[in-house]
Amino acid sequence: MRVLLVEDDDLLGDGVRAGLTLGGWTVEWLRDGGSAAAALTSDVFDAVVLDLGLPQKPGLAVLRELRGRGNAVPVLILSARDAVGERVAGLDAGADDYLVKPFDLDELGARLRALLRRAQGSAEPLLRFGDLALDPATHRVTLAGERVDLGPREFALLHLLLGAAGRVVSRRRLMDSIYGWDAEVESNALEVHIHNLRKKLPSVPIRTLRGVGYQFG
Amino acid sequence: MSLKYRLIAWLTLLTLAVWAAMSLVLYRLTVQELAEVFDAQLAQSARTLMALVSTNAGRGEMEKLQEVLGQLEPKHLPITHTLADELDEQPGAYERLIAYQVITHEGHLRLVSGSAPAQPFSSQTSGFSDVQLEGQRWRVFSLADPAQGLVVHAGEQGEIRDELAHYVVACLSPPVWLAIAALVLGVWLVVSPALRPLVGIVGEIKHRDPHDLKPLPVEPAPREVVPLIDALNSLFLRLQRAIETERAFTGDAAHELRTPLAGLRVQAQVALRATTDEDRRRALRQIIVGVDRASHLVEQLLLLSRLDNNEVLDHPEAVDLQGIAAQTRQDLTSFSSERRVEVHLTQTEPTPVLGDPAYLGVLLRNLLDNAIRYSPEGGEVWVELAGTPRAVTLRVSDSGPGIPSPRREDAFRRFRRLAEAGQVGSGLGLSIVQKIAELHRAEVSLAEPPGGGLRVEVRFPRGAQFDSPRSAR
Repeated sequence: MRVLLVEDDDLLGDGVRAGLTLGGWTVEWLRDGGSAAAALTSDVFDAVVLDLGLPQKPGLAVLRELRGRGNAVPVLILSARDAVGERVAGLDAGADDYLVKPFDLDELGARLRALLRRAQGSAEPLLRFGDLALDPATHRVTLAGERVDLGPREFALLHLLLGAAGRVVSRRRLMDSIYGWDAEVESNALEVHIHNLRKKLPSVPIRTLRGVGYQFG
Repeated sequence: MSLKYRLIAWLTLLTLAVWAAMSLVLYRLTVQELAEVFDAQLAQSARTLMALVSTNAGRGEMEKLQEVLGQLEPKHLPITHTLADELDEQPGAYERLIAYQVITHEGHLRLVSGSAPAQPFSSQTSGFSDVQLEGQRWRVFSLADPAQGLVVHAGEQGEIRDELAHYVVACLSPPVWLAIAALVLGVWLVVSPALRPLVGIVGEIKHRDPHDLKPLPVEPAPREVVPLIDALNSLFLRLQRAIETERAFTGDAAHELRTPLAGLRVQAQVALRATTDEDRRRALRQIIVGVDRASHLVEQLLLLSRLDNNEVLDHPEAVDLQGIAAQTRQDLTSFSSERRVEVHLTQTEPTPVLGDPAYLGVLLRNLLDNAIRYSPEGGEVWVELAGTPRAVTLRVSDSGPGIPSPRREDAFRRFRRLAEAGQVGSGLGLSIVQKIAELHRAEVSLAEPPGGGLRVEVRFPRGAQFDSPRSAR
């Protein structure tokens, strides 16, 4: 899953990126409101972690613009401002959650997972399809009760496809989601991971739509 | 001493003094008038006796006169005696205090009243005289009949006049004391309500909540007290502002500390769950960086709060800005070389400034640190010192992004970071610079040097700036 982190503080931004990456997220980190707004128009993210006090463009302005365009991506505000008024203003501007600094990395991850779950229209923490179950919190995948060992990228791919079960997910989206902007990826890397997934989960239907993307189910 | 008691005391004292002076004058006038009345009576008596003596100069008649006069007993008034009592009891008592003598030319007593002394009052033959005889004071009127060769003396004991004057005063005294008592009471009754508005204001202030800095109402106060209330209200207003600024600063400071703390916490968690040694080391290194940054922020906050408590410099001394600038550049060498920024130092002449060397060092360090921080890699920073007869000017210019002129005022506000992302300062640097400049009566201004970037100019006025550092402000 790919998350956009907008945080101008070096230390905190670096820590959140490292922490979320360890948690299996693909993190894009931007340090100012202007470039965040630009990235949000041109790119697709599964979630946004947004600081409020940003250079160039305040976090709330970025958020209002985003919602103004009808973009429903889950947004979690990360702010040093803890007054009730500030939290209300943040949520009313379109945020889905509000976390006050300092915070716990685990809590941030859990809240992001909850946001994703709701965005996928599900109340259940586990993603299921037939006798396949995926736990985003523990990264465990079971098939008919048997544990299946997946690599981090294979897990990320399955997570994304399972979350969008029945819909077509573009190649580009899948690539961005598991690699981010920075990584240099060989052109057939995605195909290799899909191939491995099919091998480890023979009963799971992953359809290839040539030149477009993949569809689960 | 309370205003009320002071007013009452002074008004009472003044009233008493005026009363006393008036009483003295009245007493004097009474005594004088009494003397005139008594003198006239005395003369009258003498003339009557003279007429009697002249018309009854025959021997037998004189015997009869002597018999009548002889019945007039001498009267010595004891000290405790009051004539008033005597007069009340015996209306004729006063009569016995007058003494008569009829004396021949040769000095023999022809007639003498019982109340008169045995020897002649005086040798005087006419008019009034005061005589001391046998331990008694006498007021004597003398009248001569040259045809018969007789002199008539009518004498009156001196005490009687004093007694009568005392009597008059004694009669007047009780009402006077009553009047004084009434006046004191009146003064009290008038002064107390007149001061009540003041008491009300005092009560209002006394019973206030310490956080209540609402202005006092001017309405019920007398005009004389309004300036005091105005002064108090303006003090309240300034206090309120100071408290609000302080509160906002504390709140901002707490918020500012949250982000580095959040960073530290997150990095610590990353270190705990890192799967590789390299990741763990990296997170730990980040924690050290974060602690350094938080310490720097705390130091800047402490410095600022210390500066806020200073109104003037304690011991200004002549400071060589050039030396401080060179030292600061030296101190920041590792930072500037890390950012590959070259720092140039130029000076036209020696530039001593009166001030605090430690604070001036902080000022230069903040300016230079900012300039290096916001210059692009490989950029240049210029520190220029120039002296004119009227001022010493320090200019620090960088080749960074600069600050657009509408936002320059804002740059001095605390925790205001205007720079682009990537460089994180405390947001207090320029506030500290400005505060130190204020302490040195210097002005700080921001401008854009030719070629872009930011130039901070600090202008220290020369000369009279510290004539009276303590009385200034």
